[in-house]
Amino acid sequence: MIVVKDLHKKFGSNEVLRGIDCEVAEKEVVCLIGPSGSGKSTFLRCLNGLETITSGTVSVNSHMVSDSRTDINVVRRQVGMVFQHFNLFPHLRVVDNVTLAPTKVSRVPREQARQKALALLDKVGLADKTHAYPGSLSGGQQQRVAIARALAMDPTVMLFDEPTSALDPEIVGEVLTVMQTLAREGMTMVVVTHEMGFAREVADRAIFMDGGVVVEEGPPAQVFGAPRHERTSNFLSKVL
Amino acid sequence: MTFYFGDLLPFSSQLAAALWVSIYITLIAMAVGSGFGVLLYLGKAGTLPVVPQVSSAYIEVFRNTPLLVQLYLIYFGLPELGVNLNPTWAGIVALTLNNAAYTAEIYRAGFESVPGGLVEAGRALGMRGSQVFRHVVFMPATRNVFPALTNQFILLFLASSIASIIGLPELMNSILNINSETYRTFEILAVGGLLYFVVSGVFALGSKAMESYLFRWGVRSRA
Amino acid sequence: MLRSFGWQDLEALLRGALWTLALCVTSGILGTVLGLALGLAATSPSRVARWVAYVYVYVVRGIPLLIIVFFAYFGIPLVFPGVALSAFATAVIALTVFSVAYMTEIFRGSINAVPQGQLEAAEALGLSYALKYRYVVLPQAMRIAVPPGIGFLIALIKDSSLVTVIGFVELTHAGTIVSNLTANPILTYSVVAAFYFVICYAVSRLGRWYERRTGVRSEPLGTDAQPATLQLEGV
Ligand SMILES: Nc1ncnc2c1ncn2[C@@H]1O[C@H](COP(=O)(O)OP(=O)(O)OP(=O)(O)O)[C@@H](O)[C@H]1O
Ligand SMILES: [Mg+2]
Repeated sequence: MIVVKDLHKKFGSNEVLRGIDCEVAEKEVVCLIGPSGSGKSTFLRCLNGLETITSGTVSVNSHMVSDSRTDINVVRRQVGMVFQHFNLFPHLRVVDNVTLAPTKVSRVPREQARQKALALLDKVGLADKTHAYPGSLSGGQQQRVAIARALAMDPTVMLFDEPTSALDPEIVGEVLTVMQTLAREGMTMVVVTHEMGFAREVADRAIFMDGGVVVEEGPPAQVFGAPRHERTSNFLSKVL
Repeated sequence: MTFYFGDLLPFSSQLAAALWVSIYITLIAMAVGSGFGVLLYLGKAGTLPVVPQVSSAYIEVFRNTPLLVQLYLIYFGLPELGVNLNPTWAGIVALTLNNAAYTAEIYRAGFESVPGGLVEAGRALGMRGSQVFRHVVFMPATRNVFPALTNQFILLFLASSIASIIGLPELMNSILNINSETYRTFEILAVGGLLYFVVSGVFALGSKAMESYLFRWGVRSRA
Repeated sequence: MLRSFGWQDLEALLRGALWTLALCVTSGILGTVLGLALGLAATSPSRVARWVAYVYVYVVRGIPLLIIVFFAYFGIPLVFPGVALSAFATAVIALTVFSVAYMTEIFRGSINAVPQGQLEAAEALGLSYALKYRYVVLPQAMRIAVPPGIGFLIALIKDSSLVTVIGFVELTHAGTIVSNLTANPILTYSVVAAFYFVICYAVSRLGRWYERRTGVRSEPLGTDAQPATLQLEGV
């Protein structure tokens, strides 16, 4: 589903990703962990073309993201992304945040998009907030709207970049619950997170990145419980 | 000296008509000029060849020369090139072109204050650049500069009086005509000044109301 | 009678440009001094003083400069029948009345921008009102006032073109005369515009140089003497 080969990314002379190889299978949930600045966000953003790729190849659903001839918007329609800071459109009501892309990008009829949005908002537990503006919602509610917004495009892959790290501890759970449901329904997910509990319970695989390379990967229980590399155990001892 | 406003009474409908002219030339210049201003900003910020330099030069030239001289060039200069505009059109064109340069700079500040995350969210949903601009960036940018835009509108309304110098029959022009007919100089200038003052005050209050209606989704953010 | 645009015309325009500068420097200085006084009034503890400053600022900013110019031109001889003012003096008076309002706003804003802690520290030291302003508030406010002040100076240079209506031969009026003599309005007014551009651009460079050197920046939207929104509340 996602195939990354020898991915390099430089910002000027600063090489942030130094040759990453990675595959994500359909319905797989992969958690990405690693210290700050290790390139997790950059990696995720390379997957939907928000960053241009310096060298190597990235393909998603057999679309070559790394090929400049690919219409990147076709790929992005199939790849949902959820950001650390939600990035909801402040001038649109919740329901309009969700219907914007389907109606403008995929040309879904308004009413159909609205019905779907209402169903998705119900799914994330926000049926009563459809007409609120994002500014009046709590962080957890905003993030759940952001998930609904991404799901409205019927993506086959969802990317999450630290979706809970801007949230107060007591509302982290409501977002994780939604993500867990998604995973159980068979969504392919790549999640950057420091929520080890979530990673252990939900992820099929954990990847530990440091300094722009994949240091170690494997089943979460093994990576967290019995890391093979010293860098991994050092990092884990700091966050756990 | 004594004041006597009675002589002005017969002219009240003329004043009202002239005031309306002032208001509508301002409205046209604001509407068309700010649309053009957004295009100028896009041209300046864009990556097309030559366009950024041309847009920048336009903005700098119009902002660093007097509106009156721009008006003279359009009204007295264009006929030399075979383009004859009557005072009303010359005034509208000058105000519009001038206003575009100022709104371009206002919008620049507005667009630069929109958080980059919003643009990314739009792009991640598969929107094209023009869709991101229209549906995602435009409203938050406008909100951030709305007070500056309405202030520009009021300045433009006051500046429209300059067009009286080439004979555009707006409020200031009417004031001068009434002065030469009645010689009630103090009175007519006071009444005229009051009209400008009241109308610009009404615009300011109206813009506050409009702001809280248009942007009820949130408070202004400073980037 | 008509002749083509020549050196003598350029010289006439240059002389006009110098008069424009003289006009703006004079009324700019007067406007700054009186604006500072009214700015202090606007931030003073006295309700009456504040009220006077506000009314002045709102009235002048709510009417076109042309109205003020005509008031000065027609009004002064009516009020003082014996006094024969030169066109220059009349123009200076009109532009000063105008400048004072904007400079008052600029000083009010700058004084208010001095952190509250500075005032409290001065008061804690037992400084009187006068000493507090002389040694603590004003030195800081002055620095803050420079960028918007320069922005206003640029606006003043452009707006001074309006005194052409009372027949004072500054740059724009010189342009009209030359244009009539040469029947070449495009060339003449382009040269006039170029003069204004050079002056304004030089002044704005000066402003940017100051901002770079001192790190004092004007508000993002206040760079062109676009005053903050015309607020009607809070009077
Ligand atoms: N747009 C950019 N321009 C220049 N450098 C960048 C840019 N984006 C990221 N970087 C650099 O790339 C490196 C990796 O950043 P990245 O955001 O991918 O790290 P991360 O692993 O997501 O860290 P965090 O846990 O703090 O989010 C950092 O050193 C950062 O400074
Ligand atoms: Mg990150």
